Amino acid sequence: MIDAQQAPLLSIENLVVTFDTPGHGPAVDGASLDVRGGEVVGLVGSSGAGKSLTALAVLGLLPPSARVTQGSIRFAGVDVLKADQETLRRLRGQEVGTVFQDPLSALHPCMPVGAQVIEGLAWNRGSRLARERGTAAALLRDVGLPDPDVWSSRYPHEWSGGMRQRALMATALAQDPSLLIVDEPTTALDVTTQAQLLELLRGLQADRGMAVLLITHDLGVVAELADRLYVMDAGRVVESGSVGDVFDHARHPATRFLVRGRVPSRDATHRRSRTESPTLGKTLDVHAVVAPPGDAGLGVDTTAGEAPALEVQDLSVRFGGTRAVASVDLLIREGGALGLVGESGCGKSTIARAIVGLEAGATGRIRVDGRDVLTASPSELRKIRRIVQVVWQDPHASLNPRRSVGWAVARPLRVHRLIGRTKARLRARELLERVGLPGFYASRRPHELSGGERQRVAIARALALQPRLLVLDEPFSALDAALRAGLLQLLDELRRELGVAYLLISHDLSVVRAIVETVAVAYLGRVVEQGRATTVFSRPAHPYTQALFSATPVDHPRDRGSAARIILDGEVPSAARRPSGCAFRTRCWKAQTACVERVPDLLSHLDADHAVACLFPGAEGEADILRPGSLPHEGAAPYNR
Amino acid sequence: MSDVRREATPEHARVSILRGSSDGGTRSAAVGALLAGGTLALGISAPWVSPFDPLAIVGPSLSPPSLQHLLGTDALGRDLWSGIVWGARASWLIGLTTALMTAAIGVLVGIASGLRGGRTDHVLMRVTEFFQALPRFFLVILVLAMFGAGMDRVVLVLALTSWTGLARVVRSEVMSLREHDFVAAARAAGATELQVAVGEILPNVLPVVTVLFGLTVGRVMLIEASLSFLGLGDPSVVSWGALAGQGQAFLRSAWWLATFPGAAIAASVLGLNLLGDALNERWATGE
Repeated sequence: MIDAQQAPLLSIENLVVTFDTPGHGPAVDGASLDVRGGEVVGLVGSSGAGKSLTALAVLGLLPPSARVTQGSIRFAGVDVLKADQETLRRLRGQEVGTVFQDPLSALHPCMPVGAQVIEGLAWNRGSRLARERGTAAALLRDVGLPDPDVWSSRYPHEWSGGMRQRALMATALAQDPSLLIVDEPTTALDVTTQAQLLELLRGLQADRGMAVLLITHDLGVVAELADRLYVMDAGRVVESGSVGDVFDHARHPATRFLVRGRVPSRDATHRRSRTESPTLGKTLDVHAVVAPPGDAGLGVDTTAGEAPALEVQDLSVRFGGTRAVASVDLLIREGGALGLVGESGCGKSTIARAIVGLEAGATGRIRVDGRDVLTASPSELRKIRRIVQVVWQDPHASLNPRRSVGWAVARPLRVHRLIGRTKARLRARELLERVGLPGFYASRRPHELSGGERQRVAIARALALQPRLLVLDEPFSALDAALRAGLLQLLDELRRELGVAYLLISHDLSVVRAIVETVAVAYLGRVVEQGRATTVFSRPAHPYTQALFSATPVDHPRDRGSAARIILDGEVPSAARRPSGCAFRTRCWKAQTACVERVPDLLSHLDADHAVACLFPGAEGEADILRPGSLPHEGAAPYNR
Repeated sequence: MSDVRREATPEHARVSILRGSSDGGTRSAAVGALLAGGTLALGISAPWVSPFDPLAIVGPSLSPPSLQHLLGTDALGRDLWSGIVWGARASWLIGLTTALMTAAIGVLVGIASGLRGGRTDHVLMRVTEFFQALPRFFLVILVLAMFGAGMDRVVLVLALTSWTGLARVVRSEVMSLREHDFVAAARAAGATELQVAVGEILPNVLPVVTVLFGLTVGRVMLIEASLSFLGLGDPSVVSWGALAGQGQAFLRSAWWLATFPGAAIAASVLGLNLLGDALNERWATGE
């Protein structure tokens, strides 16, 4: 399908890009790569490896302080570096389409999205705006937007992230480009939405036969889509080849780092066995167990008797008239680990905040180490907050920018007046060293640290009070895949040594799989499935769980297409407009009238440790048979494979 | 580890790009610091750099600037240079004390209002509006007319009527800060409201408070000068406004009398404004 002898469409040779700032080496340092017509090329690397700069150089859109000092870029016979502005402009609009990472900042906030697509068309064709209306609608339909006529007149903030990314793709495709550059196209999106977009990209590429340069830090995305792969590290291309080769025989450390960063998912839950915590000398449960309410005996561990570290019963959280969390039950035993999985809007973070008593609208019962959080007086709450600690999602936002790292780490100790100033300084250094950071980092400010280091600092801070329960709210989402493995290992170690119980909140199944014994899957504020991780991962029974698992990118290109993929319709609805009955029914291929009428209870399914809230829970294997496109129901799949 | 560190590079590069564009900012900061710092230093060192007692008759009346009297003398034969030096002391003293009180009240009200929200915010903001609606200049004149001239009451009235803007700015800053995860993190670690306010919020509002502090000093200097110019100041205190006001009568015959005090006021206020703007820009672009 791809002619190896054919002259490359895009050819970058020995490209060097430097910033004007003195003291920094070149940001791109002699990178060479080829993209031939009709092939999908992945450009992979950690953030700061020079991927995006390379792409920007192709478009002649480098930031003003960056300059190409060496090398050549040829696109379809045109020397891009020597071309004049007019040629470049034509190139960008008509030959090369681009989709940038952040669809919200790429769209003008004060202009209807449709008008922006039309505007792009008109600029490139030199035609009247009105004439392009039909073309724009057709394009939006091509990228899988269900109702372009309605949505065109709405503004970007009314569009969901996935839809915005589709709109950008429509603009990029307007001129039938021969090369499409996509920069981290799915990083900001939910897993099920990512699966939709990758599917869309695959379809568009096949239909139009265009070449795609796919820039990403996520090897899973590359494993799904790319034919060939270049790995960049510190401005250089360090490895290249066909996807299969690179995955199987990664030679360069950077590549291996990235490949390893994808957490090996199989068997991870089986390998752990814990007996004693060396530091605390306490015997711990091996499993944490989830006990749904009103079903005595279900999920109760035989070793029960010890007080649970966290007990959540019938938790609901309201924001005004909106219910963000609806009757959630969770239970974590001392030293256990529960994974709470779900996409945006499922109420994960709200639950985390409620557990530490930060949600005023919470009702129900939350007991941490036997103490009730929701009815606690301020002084009781302070005591509870010594037992439970949170690692927040965004390490950039969770550290005070004007305080040193050491101050931040020792802060919980100082807040509770447990320690003097000098001792606090020493303790901060110890804690930093505990999480693998040098002690002298204590005097640094957060902005001097990388994202991974900051998250380590956040973990060190959370450990300062030696909590019994650690709530980890998407601890890896701000980090490169490559940095995750290290932090996961750290968490696992800490748990073994300190006997801390974890509530791990994440949308990333591979992360959850590697660390927890029990899993709860949430959708729009309700838990739809929970049980032992081994059971849930091997036999997901709720359609949403099945879709979520199926949406996770493959670990290796050889698995591409090995299992039929469930692509859901649309995106998670807003909690303010929760569908009646089962909230998932609007996207579910099994939905029937009964699902509209009643909210399914969380009931045990097949196995006492496994509970599902679905009227038609599916057995394993069903995911392979049922596909949304194959079933006649309203609002069928917006596009076909 | 080396990969981890490299991640930070482009961010740093971006920051320095922004810095590059604010080169003018650095220059205006230097000019501002020179002007404001110069007059402040003059005021502090008044006893040593003023050759004469500013209220004593030490030379011929209305003598133009000369080596004997650097900036000339007034109608009574008092040395103008000495007057300006001591005037700097008076202007800065009144400016700084007023601004300090203003900042204290403003930060207190702003943080309480922004952090607590709800009813506290509602009540405090109505109070703020009340003080904001008071005609400041008129109030000062009224107080001076009722209780006689005096620096102390000028400072008090100005401080009581100047904190509102600062409180509002701090409040809005705090309202956005309190949504940050690091505030939630502090609360979740068991910090009390006071610990959150002092430990987390305060260091983050200090930049904006510093900027406004400088601007307030400048504004108060101007008001004080206007009051003294109108003859409402304390006659026993030499101030720039009073000097300019007295010199005004001799604008045609002795130009130096109104010009130099006026220039001193202008230089100080301009310096403070430049400094404030430059600091603001520096902090707005991140660190």
